[in-house]
Amino acid sequence: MPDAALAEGGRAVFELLSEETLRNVVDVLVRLVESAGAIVIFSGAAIAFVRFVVVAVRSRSAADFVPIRLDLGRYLAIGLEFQLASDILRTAVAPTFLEIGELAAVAAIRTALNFFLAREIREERAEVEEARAEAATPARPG
Amino acid sequence: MSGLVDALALLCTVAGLVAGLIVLSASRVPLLALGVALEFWTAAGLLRLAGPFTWQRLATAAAVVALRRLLGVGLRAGRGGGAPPRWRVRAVRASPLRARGR
Repeated sequence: MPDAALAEGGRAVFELLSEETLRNVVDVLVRLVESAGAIVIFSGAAIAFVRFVVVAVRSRSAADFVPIRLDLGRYLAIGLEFQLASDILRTAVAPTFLEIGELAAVAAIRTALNFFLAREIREERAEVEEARAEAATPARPG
Repeated sequence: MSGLVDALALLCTVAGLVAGLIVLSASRVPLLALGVALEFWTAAGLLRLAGPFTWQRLATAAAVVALRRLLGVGLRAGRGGGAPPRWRVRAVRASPLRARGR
């Protein structure tokens, strides 16, 4: 009798953790994480747009636009991290070969963009520092 | 979800166009304005990739990434050895942060 109850319980657990359930749970998680990434990206774009307009009205100096561009790049990088996390989650359930191919293509684009974005931010920041250092050196008379 | 993502992506595309024009008219530095517009268009491409997968969306995102790289290389080549542009040096010199020694 206890064996039968055990078997029944095991079957119930197996049904609860069936591939279908796992797929549904992962699907919800993927949507949540991907939405978070989209929200970060759109918020960053909206904030940057407002700041661009404010700076254009107030100072009109080219140098003032660069930090805003860098900040927008950072928002994009954070959003991309979320989207890459959702790609990783998607691999938890092994779908068809076609779906894996699509996932690989999207992940490759996102990874490449994340890499280039990080490099651009680093280079841009170094350039601003370089310009600041050059400006800090006293100008020669004449 | 897909409709919302597409609407947000379209907003980003328009914002890129407007921001690029604003930066161009305020700073008179076309490459900076193009960089700003590309930043918004990258955001639009990323938002589109968050929607349902199509090869066209993927190709658009890839094209924006490639264009960004091309622009980056062009900017560095046009600057001659990676020296900071004159407008940036001038702007930093005039900055109040410099007076405070930061």
